[in-house]
Amino acid sequence: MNRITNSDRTLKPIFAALFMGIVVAISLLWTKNGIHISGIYSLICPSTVVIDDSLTNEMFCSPQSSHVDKMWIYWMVGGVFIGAFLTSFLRNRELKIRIERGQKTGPKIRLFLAACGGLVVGFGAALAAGCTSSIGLTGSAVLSVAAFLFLIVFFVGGFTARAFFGRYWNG
Amino acid sequence: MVENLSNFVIGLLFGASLDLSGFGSAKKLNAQFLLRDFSMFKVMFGAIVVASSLYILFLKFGYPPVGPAVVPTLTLGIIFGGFLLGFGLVLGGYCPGTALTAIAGGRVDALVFFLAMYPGYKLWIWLEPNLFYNLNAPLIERNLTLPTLFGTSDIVVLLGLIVVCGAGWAFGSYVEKVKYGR
Repeated sequence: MNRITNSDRTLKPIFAALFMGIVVAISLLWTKNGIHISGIYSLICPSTVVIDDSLTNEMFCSPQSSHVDKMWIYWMVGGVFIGAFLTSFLRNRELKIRIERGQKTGPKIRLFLAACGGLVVGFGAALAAGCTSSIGLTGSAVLSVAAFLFLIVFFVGGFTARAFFGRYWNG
Repeated sequence: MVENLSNFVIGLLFGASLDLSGFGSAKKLNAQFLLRDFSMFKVMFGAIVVASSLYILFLKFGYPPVGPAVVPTLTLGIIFGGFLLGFGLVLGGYCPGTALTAIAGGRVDALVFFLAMYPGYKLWIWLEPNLFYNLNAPLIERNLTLPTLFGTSDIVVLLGLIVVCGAGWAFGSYVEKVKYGR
C-alpha cells in the first residue's frame, strides 16, 4: 500500500495537512492577506449599508468592506481554480464532466439540493463576512477567538443538516 | 500588479492543496459528517496547527504580523453564518473554496452550487438595511486572539491546539478502523 497517496492519487491526510498548512502560512507571511474565496462575491455585490466604521467588520469578505482594495481576490480565486484544475487533470488524466451524488440520489434532486445549499452558503458567507477558508483556516491560524467559535458552530451546523439530509449522501 | 501575481500564486497552491486533499469531492467532505472518513477534520485542523506554528515561528524571527482584517472579530454574524456554512455544506455538498475546486474537476453540481451563492449573498445585502439590529457589531474586543483571552503566550496556546488536534486525529482514526477496518 502506498504510504503517501490514496487509491485516487489524493494525499493521505498527514501530507495534505502539511501542504495546506504551508500554503496558509505562506499567505500569512508573504502577502499578509490569508486566503479568501467568498470575498469575490463581496466585490461583485457590494453592500449599500454604511455603518459607522468602528462597528463594521472590516474583513476582506465583508460586503461592507467594498471600499478596501480587494482586486487581488479575483486573482486568488482564479489561481485556486487553475491550480485545482491542473492537479485534478494530472491525477485523473482526464476531465470527466459529471454530477457527484449519493447512490440513491437522482441527478435532478442532487442539483436541486446543490442549489439550495449554495443559497444557504452564499447567505451565510455574507452574514459571517467570510467562508471556511477565510475565517476557518486563516483566522484560526492566527489564533482568533472568533475563528475557533466559527469552526465549532460550523460543525454543529453540519451535523444538524446531516440529521435531515445525510441520507442523500449514502452509498 | 505584484500583489495580484503573488496572490495568484498562493491561489494556485491553495487550489492544488484542496484538490490533492480530495476536497473537490462532495462525497468525501460529507463522509466526515456521516463519521466515515475523518479526512476533513484531520486535514483542516492539521493545516491550522502547521500554519500557526510556522506563522508564530516567523514572528519570533521578526516577521511583521498580519493586519486586523485577517483576524476575525466575534460577531453574531460569524456565529449564525458559521452555522449556515456548515448546514449548507451538508445540504449542497460544498463550501465556497471546495466548490471552486470541484468545478475545476468537472462537477456540474458544484457549478450550480457556486452560482446559487450569488442570490444567497444578494439576499443578505438586501436584508441587512432592514434589520433593526446590527449583526456585525463586535461582541467582544475586536480582533481578540486566544493568547490575549487566556493571558498566556502563543506557544502555550499552540501546544494546547496540538494536543486537541492529536486527540481528534487519534479518535478519527480509531472510528475509521473499528467501523470500516481502514
